[in-house]
Amino acid sequence: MPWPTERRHLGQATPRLDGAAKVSGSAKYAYDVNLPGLLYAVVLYSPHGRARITKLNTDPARRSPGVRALAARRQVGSELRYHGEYIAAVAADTEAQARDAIRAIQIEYEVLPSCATEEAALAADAPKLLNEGNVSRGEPRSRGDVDSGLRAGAATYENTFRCAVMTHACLETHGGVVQYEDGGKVTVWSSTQAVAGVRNDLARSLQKSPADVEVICEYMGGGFGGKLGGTMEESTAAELARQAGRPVKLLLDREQDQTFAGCCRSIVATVKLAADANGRLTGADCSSYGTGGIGGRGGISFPYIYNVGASRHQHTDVFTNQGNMRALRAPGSPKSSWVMESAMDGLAEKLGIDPVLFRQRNLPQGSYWVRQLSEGAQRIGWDQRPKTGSQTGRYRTGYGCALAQWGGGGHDSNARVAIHHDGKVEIWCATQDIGTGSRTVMAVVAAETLGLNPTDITVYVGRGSYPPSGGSGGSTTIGGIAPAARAASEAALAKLFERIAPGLGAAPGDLEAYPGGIRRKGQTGGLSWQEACGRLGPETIDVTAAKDRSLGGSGVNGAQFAKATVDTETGVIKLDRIVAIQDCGLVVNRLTCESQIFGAVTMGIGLALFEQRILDPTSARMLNPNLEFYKLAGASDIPPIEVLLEDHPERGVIGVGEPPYIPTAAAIGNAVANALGVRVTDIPLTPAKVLAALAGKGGSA
Amino acid sequence: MNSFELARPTTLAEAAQMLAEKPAETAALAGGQDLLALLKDDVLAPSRLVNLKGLPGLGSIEVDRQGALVLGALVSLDAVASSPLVQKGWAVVAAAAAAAATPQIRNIGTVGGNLCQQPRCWYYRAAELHCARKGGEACLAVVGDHSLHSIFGEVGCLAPNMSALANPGTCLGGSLRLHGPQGARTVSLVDFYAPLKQSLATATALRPGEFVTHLVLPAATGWATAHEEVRARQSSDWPLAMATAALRLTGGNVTAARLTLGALAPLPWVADAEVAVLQGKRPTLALCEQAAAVVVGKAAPLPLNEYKVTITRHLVRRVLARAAGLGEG
Ligand SMILES: Cc1cc2nc3c(=O)[nH]c(=O)nc-3n(C[C@H](O)[C@H](O)[C@H](O)COP(=O)(O)OP(=O)(O)OC[C@H]3O[C@@H](n4cnc5c(N)ncnc54)[C@H](O)[C@@H]3O)c2cc1C
Repeated sequence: MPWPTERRHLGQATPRLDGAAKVSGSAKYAYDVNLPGLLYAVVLYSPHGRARITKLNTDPARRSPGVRALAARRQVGSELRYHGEYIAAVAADTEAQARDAIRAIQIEYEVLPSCATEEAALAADAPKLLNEGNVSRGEPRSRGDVDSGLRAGAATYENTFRCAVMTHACLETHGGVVQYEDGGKVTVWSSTQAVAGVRNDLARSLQKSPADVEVICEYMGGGFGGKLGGTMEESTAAELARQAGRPVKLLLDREQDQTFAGCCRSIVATVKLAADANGRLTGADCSSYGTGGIGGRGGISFPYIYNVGASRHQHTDVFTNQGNMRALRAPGSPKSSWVMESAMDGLAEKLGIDPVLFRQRNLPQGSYWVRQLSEGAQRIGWDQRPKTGSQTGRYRTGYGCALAQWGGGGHDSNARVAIHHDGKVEIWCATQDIGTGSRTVMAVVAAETLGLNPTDITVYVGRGSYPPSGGSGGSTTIGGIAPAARAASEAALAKLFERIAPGLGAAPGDLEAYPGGIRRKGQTGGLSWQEACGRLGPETIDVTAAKDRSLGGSGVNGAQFAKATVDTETGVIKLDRIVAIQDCGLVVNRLTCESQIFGAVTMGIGLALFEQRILDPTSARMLNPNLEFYKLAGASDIPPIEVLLEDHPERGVIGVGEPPYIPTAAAIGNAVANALGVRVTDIPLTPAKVLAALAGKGGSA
Repeated sequence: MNSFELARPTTLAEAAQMLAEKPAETAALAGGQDLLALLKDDVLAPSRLVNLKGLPGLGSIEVDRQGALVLGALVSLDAVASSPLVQKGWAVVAAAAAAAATPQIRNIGTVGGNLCQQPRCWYYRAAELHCARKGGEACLAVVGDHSLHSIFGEVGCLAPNMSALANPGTCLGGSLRLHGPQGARTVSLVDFYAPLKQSLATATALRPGEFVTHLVLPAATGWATAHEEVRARQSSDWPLAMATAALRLTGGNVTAARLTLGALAPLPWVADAEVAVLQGKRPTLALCEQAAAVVVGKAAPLPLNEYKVTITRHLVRRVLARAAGLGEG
């Protein structure tokens, strides 16, 4: 059945079902799992950016008080390629004992020359970090004759834009608790974005059947793409648990979380755009390089969003001595947006065309973006936007905008629904609630379908053994679980109709659910939900169904506008306002949907202003593997964020977790350039860079 | 973290004795906001902590008979920030305390711990790194990332003094009461930090067994003061620069000018001599700007912290102008 045209809960503001559990602390995260006989594991990891182990004696650790197990991951002779790389782990009765044991390990290193930056790795005399070298050059990709496209332009704009390496910086670090059950089954409480995926990965590495591995993630404290796989913590904990015959808790310390457990690539992109006198793009060229650590690969999308005429892009991955990248919220796209949208503004400025107008001229006519740009401009007060570079005072205010594009089509998913004779409804799905509100969303859909309220539904997620669903990456979750909840609820309702219809002297097809009960179609009165279910007797309705694909869509847009004020004496940027316009098909729950947008914009502020992995240039050691100098946007850095959420029920459900993160930094950068008349080309936009640009060093028009 | 003995003295004399027994292996513990992190990160490994929190007489905020503000070493930063007494007579001190750290840390962190905090340098704080401050050969920030480090004051270590209280405290001519095995004595804040200039091993004038009991700030009547810190992130961040200015104005002319900078030098950076250009003159914005230029003329930045010179130049102009009643300039 399609989504209903009259909606009681879909698109309304339903508070999170687990909100009270979270704020009261009764919600249990992986770290909160304490079992009888639990051991604590601590990891010894490389303190160096690059080193060889010349001596390693773990015996003192094995003999250390309280130690029950030890797992070595590297040996004498192993080359360590980044700060944070696993060397060994121990499990002991207490965390303090485990830490003491780690310190008792006798280890010596030969520190090797390292490369902390792309430039160091690219240098002619750079040490060779990998057998295949430090560089992987991608093939150029082109469309049309870019050289003549660039020549054909009335104006061209060229600049080099940079983004630093960032980390995921989840409040809850990576890891979990592993317990071997009697009979050889394994239970894992993991902080993960993919209970089903971890179950399969772990089963493979433990050489067990997935049926013998249960992965549980009731709640998780942030993943952002870094917890989709890579089960190093869980498999190490399993190894220790097996050795010790006791459950083991292994969660990374903050330093290793920041160095080992994922990052987002850097980008250095030299981009050239050309447009004719009417402001239509004729050509776009980009050559980029960047690092995603010692083996990470992946650049940016170019051209991004706009119809650019002929185009060419070549990307080179550079390997450096730092922990590898993992997917990070809309992988690569915020940086694609930063590069493209900055250049778009630069060219608009050169052409003397308003940046909003210039964008609209280079977008598909009638696209969401064209409309969203007009709406956003109106909402932010674009007519107040000063002429770029016209201000002279200490504080200078500017306006900027940027666009987003994302897929968000749902992954495969199943759900199981049970209806009991007391009217209770339960729903199960092997998805996870990574903070996005999956539980609530499933309850909203089930309630809508069954004529109940979301609080009437009990939702079970976060177990790998529940009906199969996908990992929460790529904004694919809601497009899986909402249609699955709908399909399973409908199937359960059909069963209910079958069971009670005879007693009502009706055919099952004559019945319908209405708010609070079941009735004959078109009639006013009927049985209350309780009465109807009461006729079931002890035999519960219990059905599992796969998602109905017709209920989901794909492809979202979005536009954001920023108003920012720069203190030209300190280089400090203060955001005044952000307007975020977002479509995502059918809005299932307005509150959790808007909450994704608030969170994404907040992360975008971090990307624009603060976040960067700072490595010591000599040793490639991360200098800020904490949350003190690895800075996230805090409450006082977040301006009023106005969300304009579009509801397009006809398009079905589409995910929205990632797209609103994409354009924020570019919009802020454009606002700063408008304010200053000089462009800071390198995010994060730190005071040092802003002041350098103002002084004519490091910035450009 | 090493195991340690937690000593809990109840008198000043007992505390001094406990601190003095094995001074190299002993640390005073107050709020622990700085010290415990250093222990957990294996940067420091004392075998004994002497908990000062049970000591009498260190927890109050008072004005003595000379009109000086006497802050007990155990008074929390939050109590300093929210004290009407401090806000009224020593507003720059209240403002500096209010800007430090986070509400949680201000609730627990003390005056004594704030003044005696260890270097906030990412090289110093990495246990595996052996920097000059820890007896190593070189200051690693010099060839490394020194974007947050000192631009003034060559001592062989670039870690700046970050104490929120030392900055206005020094400017206002503050002093510390110390207690040790030999009894009590008083040193000025300037002399308290001066030993660092002689040796990186002596961060303060504290002798074995000594600890801070009070911060004493003379009455600020007659002084026009202003304080400001610049930080990149608005929600709790370490300052990139701090400045406190104090001017004595008679008949509209400056008769005394003081300026202390923080987060910019290994010790509170006293620039009274540089702002002497104001002396005897009617303050104007141009004059404040001129003084600021003289102040930063002494800076010796490295490539990554050159931006702090610009920040400091404007910051100094602003605090001087504000103290002089000229607004922000
Ligand atoms: C995230 C974070 C942010 C911070 N931000 C700031 C900031 O912006 N500005 C700022 O100034 N500080 C900041 N601090 C530093 C510090 O924690 C606070 O300033 C606090 O006041 C320390 O006080 P405490 O009582 O907790 O000190 P403790 O940790 O107990 O002690 C710190 C040091 O002082 C010594 N000590 C303590 N009391 C005495 C005494 N009476 N006599 C002699 N020695 C003593 C200890 O032995 C130790 O070496 C920050 C700390 C953190 C963790």
